[in-house]
Amino acid sequence: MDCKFFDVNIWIGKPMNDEKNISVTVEETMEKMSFLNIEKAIVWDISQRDVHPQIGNEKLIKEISNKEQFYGVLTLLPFQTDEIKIYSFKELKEKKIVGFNFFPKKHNFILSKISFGEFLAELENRKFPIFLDVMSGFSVDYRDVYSILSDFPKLTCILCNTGMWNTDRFTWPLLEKFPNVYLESSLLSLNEGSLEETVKKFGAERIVFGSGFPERYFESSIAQLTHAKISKGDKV
Amino acid sequence: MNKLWEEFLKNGKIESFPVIDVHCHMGFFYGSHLPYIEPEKMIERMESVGVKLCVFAHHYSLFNPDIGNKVVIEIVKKYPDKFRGYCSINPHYQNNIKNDINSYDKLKDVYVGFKLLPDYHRVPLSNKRYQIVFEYAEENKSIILTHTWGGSFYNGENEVEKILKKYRKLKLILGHSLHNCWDKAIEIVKNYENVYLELCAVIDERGVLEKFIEKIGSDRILYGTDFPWFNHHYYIASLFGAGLSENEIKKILYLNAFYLLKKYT
Repeated sequence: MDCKFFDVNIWIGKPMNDEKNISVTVEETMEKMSFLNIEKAIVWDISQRDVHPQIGNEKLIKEISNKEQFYGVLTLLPFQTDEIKIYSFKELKEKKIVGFNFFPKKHNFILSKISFGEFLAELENRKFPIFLDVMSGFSVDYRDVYSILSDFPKLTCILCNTGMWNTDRFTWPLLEKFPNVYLESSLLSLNEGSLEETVKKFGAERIVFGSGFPERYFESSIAQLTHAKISKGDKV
Repeated sequence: MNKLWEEFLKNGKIESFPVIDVHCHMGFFYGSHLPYIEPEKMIERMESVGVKLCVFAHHYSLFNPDIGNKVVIEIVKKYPDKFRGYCSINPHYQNNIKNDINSYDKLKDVYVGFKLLPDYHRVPLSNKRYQIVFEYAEENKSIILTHTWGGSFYNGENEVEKILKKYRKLKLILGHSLHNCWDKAIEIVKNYENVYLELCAVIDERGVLEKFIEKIGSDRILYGTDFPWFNHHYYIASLFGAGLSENEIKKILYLNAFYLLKKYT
């Protein structure tokens, strides 16, 4: 299958701790993407998490501004502390920002109706996505996801890095109850049968391709999806 | 390497050599949903990706002493070309261990060795309850695959070294390669000649395999996936992602395990 890919789960930049020496330059990422037919990607800069969202957001906006294959995700903090610049949705579109992410466990706040109620309601109405990392320990866990979606059931939510072990027991109830929840594929691909069975039960429309690069290999997600026992239509 | 990658991506398998997975399971697992747990479904998946042989410890053998290893014997006898078994050891049931070892000699067409799971059974590797197994395996040149995890009280680096110092000829596969204690895993391979690193839960992250290859080469690294936990296409593609040469990939996916298991298969 000669397939082109749109990867929704890549970070760029150098992490505070790089014990495994995994960080690569933006140019190397783009070169690798090109080799593997990954035409577009949604990216964020690791400094959004490791330094400060304001520093990282601005770095990201600058980095993707002249690269047509990249779209960006900004990181938010509770607006009450006035630490981050707020953009209008028109400005976000101009800057190729297509979503928000949050690192409450790292940045010490609670992602909830109390801290973000009106804002999340607006995102819900606009169908503007949030990207929630469920595995890293820096963002949210499944209990948080269940809680947020109980308050904002129509929120467009992409669950990234869904978990190293098969997480069907966590994710399938969410897919069943909340129509705008999507799963990023990288760790579904890791877990034997998870992608195929999720497609069978909920449809390929609920899964978006992701690699988790540079923490994980592009090649792994691509090879698994390419040879998954689902229809070609479901793959593309 | 690019040619082999292109072949793998196009066909879903490598035609020039088969794959041996030395770390597999089977059956339901309490901790997560595993969709493809039956041997027939596993065989279908293995054939789709060029996996010739899976060496497995059945979940029920590891977790249900009432069932024990009889389920492994049944499955290997039914599918001898596809599966070989580990005789699972639960240190809480010494009578079962004695019975298993007494019958082991008659089941050499079934077993290649023993599987230990100290983190789950909560008995450290160096505990005397495992002694009979280590002694038997060393004397009979049987393999032991043990779950290992960096820093673990039960099967971390300290426990592994205690065993290796005591049983110098033991062929020991470090399942998960002392996860997250990668430098120590490398040091152990350098210091003990009969130790192998196994890649399950290793190659789902970039950076570790690259380090192993740089420091110890590919001769003592074995392909393992916890299948049917993890997906073969995903894992095999990781070797390409890590930039390994064709020769290194062949050794890890096939040759190292082939020579290690030759006596049994």
